[in-house]
Amino acid sequence: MFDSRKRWFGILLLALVAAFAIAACGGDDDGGSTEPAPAAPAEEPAPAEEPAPAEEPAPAEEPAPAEEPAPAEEPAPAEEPAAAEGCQLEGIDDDSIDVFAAADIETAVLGQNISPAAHGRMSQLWLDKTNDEEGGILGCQVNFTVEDDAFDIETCVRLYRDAIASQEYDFFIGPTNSGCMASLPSLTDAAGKWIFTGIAADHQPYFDPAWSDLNNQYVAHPSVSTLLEGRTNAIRFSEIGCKRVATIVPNYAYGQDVANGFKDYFPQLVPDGEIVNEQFPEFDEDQFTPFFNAMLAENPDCIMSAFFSAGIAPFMIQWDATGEAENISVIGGLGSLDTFAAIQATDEIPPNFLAYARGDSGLLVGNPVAAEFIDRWVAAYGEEFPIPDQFTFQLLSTWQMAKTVMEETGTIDPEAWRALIETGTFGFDGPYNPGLTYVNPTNHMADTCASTGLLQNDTSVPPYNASYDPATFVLGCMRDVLPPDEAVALTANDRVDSATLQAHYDLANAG
Amino acid sequence: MTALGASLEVYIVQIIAGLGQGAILFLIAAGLTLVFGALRVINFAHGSLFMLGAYITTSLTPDSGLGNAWFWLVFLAAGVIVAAGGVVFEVGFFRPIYDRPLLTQILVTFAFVLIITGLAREFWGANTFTTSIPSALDGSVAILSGRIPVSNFIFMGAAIAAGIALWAILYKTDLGRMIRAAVSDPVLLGLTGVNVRLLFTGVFVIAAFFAGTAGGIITLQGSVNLDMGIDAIIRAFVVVVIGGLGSLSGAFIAAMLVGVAEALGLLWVPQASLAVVFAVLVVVLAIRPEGIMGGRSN
Repeated sequence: MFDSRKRWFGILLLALVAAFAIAACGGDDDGGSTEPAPAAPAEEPAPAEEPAPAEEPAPAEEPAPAEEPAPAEEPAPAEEPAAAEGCQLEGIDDDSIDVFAAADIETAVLGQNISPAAHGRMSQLWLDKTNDEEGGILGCQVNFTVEDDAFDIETCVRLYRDAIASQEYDFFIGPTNSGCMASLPSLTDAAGKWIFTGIAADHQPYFDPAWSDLNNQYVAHPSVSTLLEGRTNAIRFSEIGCKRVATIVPNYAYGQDVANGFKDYFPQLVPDGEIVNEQFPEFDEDQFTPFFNAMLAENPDCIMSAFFSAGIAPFMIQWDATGEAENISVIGGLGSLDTFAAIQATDEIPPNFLAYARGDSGLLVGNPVAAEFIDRWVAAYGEEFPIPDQFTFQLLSTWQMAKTVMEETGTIDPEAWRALIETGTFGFDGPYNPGLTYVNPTNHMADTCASTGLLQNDTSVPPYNASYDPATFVLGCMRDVLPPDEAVALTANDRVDSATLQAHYDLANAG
Repeated sequence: MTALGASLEVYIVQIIAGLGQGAILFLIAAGLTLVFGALRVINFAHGSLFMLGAYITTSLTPDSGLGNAWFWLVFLAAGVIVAAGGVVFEVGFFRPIYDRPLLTQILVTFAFVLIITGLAREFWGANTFTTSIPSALDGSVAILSGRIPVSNFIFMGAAIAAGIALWAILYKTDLGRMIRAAVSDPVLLGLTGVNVRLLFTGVFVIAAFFAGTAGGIITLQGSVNLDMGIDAIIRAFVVVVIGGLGSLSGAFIAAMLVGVAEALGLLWVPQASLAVVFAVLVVVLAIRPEGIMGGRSN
């Protein structure tokens, strides 16, 4: 009897193992592979895509420039892919550019529209174009390795430590986890490697210990930041006429950075305004009534929060139940495709309910770089993922900046990259701006724009039930919300003088 | 930046909101303390059963709209489905560990937290879900200077109903008498001809049913996510310890105490409202290490 049970148990165990093995080998469903391997260099690479003509419609996010200011160092023309001549990038030891990032790309802890979309699918599109169609960067293929961190800070930091220790990588792209990102620049800087922050690019002006004490040099922020989001929210509230603002910001790095950005800037815009109450719910808080009561006890006229993704929906539903939606404007957080999908009923969005965006595809479609990759996205993934989420443009901007740095310096030398970025005239073709996206030499933050607007019911793009109302957007751009004096005050970078910094602002303002 | 000097009306509204949160805590803690009281197992997977109830309810209430009456059927169905799963858990995995050391029990039940969460992620994905709220249960009620969502009153009603139902089962039925006898001496009870194993399965199933229905009813708050099970079990465990391990009445008192303490903490020290909850825990355990109702007949 016992032997018989053991045998059956063994058979069951084998069946389970076999089932797992079959499931594990069941196929790769999309481009979000963990290691997007570059395709072999084309023997006769197609010529690089022509840049969009000047007559391209101006993107909604920014007015078209009256006149394109000439950058000091133009990107090298890519008229002839250099694959045939081999890798021309100085300092490369194996003919390929090896890049590492950690993100919840397989576990998809934050859903399919953030890390798997940005570090996975959009990065794959960019790699396909760069490696297959353009023959790489100066003839060097780009290898991108993404390891899954399950959105866990400790795992994420360990993966970067291991990657740095392996000495296999030429530079790094940041994770999705903002708590992890805060730890990384000191590690990568000590290793003499650049990190381009990507999505979790939240802390840059507040990296004071790293910047001033450790003289952190090798970190760049190519996309929209939380500082920018917080300050754009302040612009929106100042335009509404808010005087008494309550904040209910999740107790984690990203949310608190948005709150810092807001709280620093709102008093500058509204001198007689005040923050009347602050609440600190958990990241995954789902019981908001006591929080709302505590805030409403202080009679706020506006409320700012910094939830994001699908987490905005329960906050919004419970806010609606307070009956105060008609009287108080609320910014719920970073509204993304997962927010739009989580809103189920078409009457769920209360009046005066806003959210902020870091590059909604509806706004960026007028930008040539963004438009090209939206088209590529729709062709490659449109059936399952109809439109790319805003996080994907953060990675696109990251890749574009890194590529431009390499093309203009012709080397992998981090000092050369730093010198270029700190000229004050460095810019790249990103998905956000109509012309070049210039990079602030003091803090290495790109001149991008965030937007804050009303959410609206919209079922035109299934499976999403909401969208932004573009007519209600206000923009906040880095050149406006972070003036030179404050940029210097926040970030100690003695290598950049005031004339250099001003040169950046002149170009950014002209663009 | 706190509402420390808020008016009495604000305090009253906040206390009512806290009672609503306490009601949710009790709905979760009731099953946890029942299982511990009868089976002497600290079932960390109880929060995961709660989470499953929420996901099942969300899956069964598409926004095409099951009406108001249907919501009650759906969340009861969630309880039944989770209870059915509870049979499998208890017979297959929990029964073998009843006589094992506490650490083994904790590790096994915690393993199930990870397993159930992983399976839920595989099945439902990682995103937060929202559930369509039946119109009769939506909205809020004006109380003094504030408003309390209707759902909070539903939670309070459900907690009271659950408390009465459990009390009736334990004290007014033969099943309850056997459960209480099993708590005292399961071996002796077995010698009288009672199938103690089946009895324990029944206790586990009742607890799983309450966890499933609690998960179903929590969807009225509009949020279902993978973290809710772990978050729930941590808070419920605090409640059970404050109330006295195994004590149903203690769990009820403690749940209300914790809910109100956390709500008032948001008025006093919003940066550290959870610290208020744990301060209550420390104070209660300092005065009564066995918990508020611990050591008494339950």
